Amino acid sequence: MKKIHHLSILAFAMLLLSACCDESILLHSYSLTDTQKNAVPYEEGDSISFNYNGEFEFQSEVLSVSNYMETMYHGIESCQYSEYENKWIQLKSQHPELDILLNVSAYDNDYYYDYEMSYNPYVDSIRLSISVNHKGFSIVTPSDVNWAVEQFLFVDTTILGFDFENVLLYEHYSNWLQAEDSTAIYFENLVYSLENGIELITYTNDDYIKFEN
Amino acid sequence: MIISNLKIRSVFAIALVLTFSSCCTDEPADERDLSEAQKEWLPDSNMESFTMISDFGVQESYTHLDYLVSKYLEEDKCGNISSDMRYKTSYQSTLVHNNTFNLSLETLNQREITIEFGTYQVARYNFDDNEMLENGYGSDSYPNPLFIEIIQNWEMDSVVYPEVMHIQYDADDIDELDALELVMAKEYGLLYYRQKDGVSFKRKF
Repeated sequence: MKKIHHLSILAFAMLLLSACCDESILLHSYSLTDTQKNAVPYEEGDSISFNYNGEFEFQSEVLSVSNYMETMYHGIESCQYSEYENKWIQLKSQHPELDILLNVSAYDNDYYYDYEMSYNPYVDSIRLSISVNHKGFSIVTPSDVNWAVEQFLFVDTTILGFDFENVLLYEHYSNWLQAEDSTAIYFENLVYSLENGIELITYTNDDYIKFEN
Repeated sequence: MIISNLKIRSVFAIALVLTFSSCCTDEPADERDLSEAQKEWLPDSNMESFTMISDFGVQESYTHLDYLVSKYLEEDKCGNISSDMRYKTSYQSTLVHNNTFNLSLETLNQREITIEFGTYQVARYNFDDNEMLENGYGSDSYPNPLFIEIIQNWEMDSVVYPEVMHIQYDADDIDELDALELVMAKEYGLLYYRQKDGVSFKRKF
C-alpha cells in the first residue's frame, strides 16, 4: 500500500515537471514588411500641422516612434512561441488636447501559416490600429467586400465635403455602442492615408481636425 | 466582617446605579443632512450631459455616469441611532481620457462639498465654517487650491448666477492643462474654467 502511495507521488511529480519548460522554443519570428514599416509617415520629433474647423492651426508633436517584438505562446502550457514586430507611434497636442497612438503589427502576417503553409492574403496588409485619447477606432469596410480577405481596404470617400482617394476610413467605437445623449459630442470618423498619415478627424457635431499640407 | 461585606455591597450598588444613570436615555435619532440650499450645489439630476467650449471654439462634452445617495447609520452603546448623508454625482468627458467632473456633498465629518476636476484636482469646502478644507491626499500630485470663495451674483455672457463657487489654484502647483481657476454654479455645475496655459472654457448652453 505504502509502495503504491510513493509511486503515485512520483508520477504526480513527473507530470508536474513535464508540464514545465526547460527552455522556450521560438517557432517563428515575423518582422514588419517594408509596406508595413512605411505605413506611418511620422518620424520622432516631427511637428504635424492640423487645423480645427478651418479656424485655427495647431501643431501635434510626434513624441515617440518605437519598435518591439511581441511574444505570443502557442497555447497556455505550450513552450513554443512566436514573435511579431510592432511599431508604435505617439502624437500629442495641447489644444485641442489629443493623445494619438498608432500601432502597426506583423501579427496577421502568419495568419494561415500553420494551417496551409502557403499563400497568406494578410501578408503585407496594413494592420494599423489607431486610438485618440484612449478612444478606439475601427476600420470601416464597405458591405460588398469580403471582410476576411480585405481587412484593411483603401477606399475613396467624401466626408464633410472633403474628398479623399485611396485612404483608410475608421469610425469611433461609440458609433456602435451609442446610445448616449445625442447632445453630447463624440469622435466620429478618422481618415488615414499612407502619404500624410492622419488626414481628418471628425466629431459628431461636424467639428473636425484636418491635416494641413 | 459583616460591616466589611456591607461596605463592599454598598460600593457595588452605587457603581451599578452610576453605570445605569450615565447613559441610555431615549434620545431622538440624530439624522444629519445638508440643508436644501446646500443640496442645490448638485446639478439638476436630469442633466445627462453638458458641453464646454474654449475661447478657440474647441468643444468637449461630459456625460453623466451616476448619481448616488447614501445613508450611513451608526448605533451607540445604548442603541441610539444617528445617521449621515452623502450625495455624489459624476460626469466624464466624452473626448479626453480621465477628464472628470464629480461633486459630492456629505455630513460625515462636517457639512461639506468635494469637487473633483480633471484627473488630480480635488477641492473641499466646509459649509459649517465657510472655509476651505485640505483635500486629504497630502500629495503634491493632488494640490490643494489657494482658496475657495462663494460669490453672489456672478455674471457670464449676460446671465447672472445668484451664487457660484470660485476655486483658485496656485500656478506653481499645477500642470499646463490643469485648471488654474474654475467656477461652478448651483443647479448647473461647472460654468467656467481657465487652464494654466491660458486657454479658458465656458459652459455652452
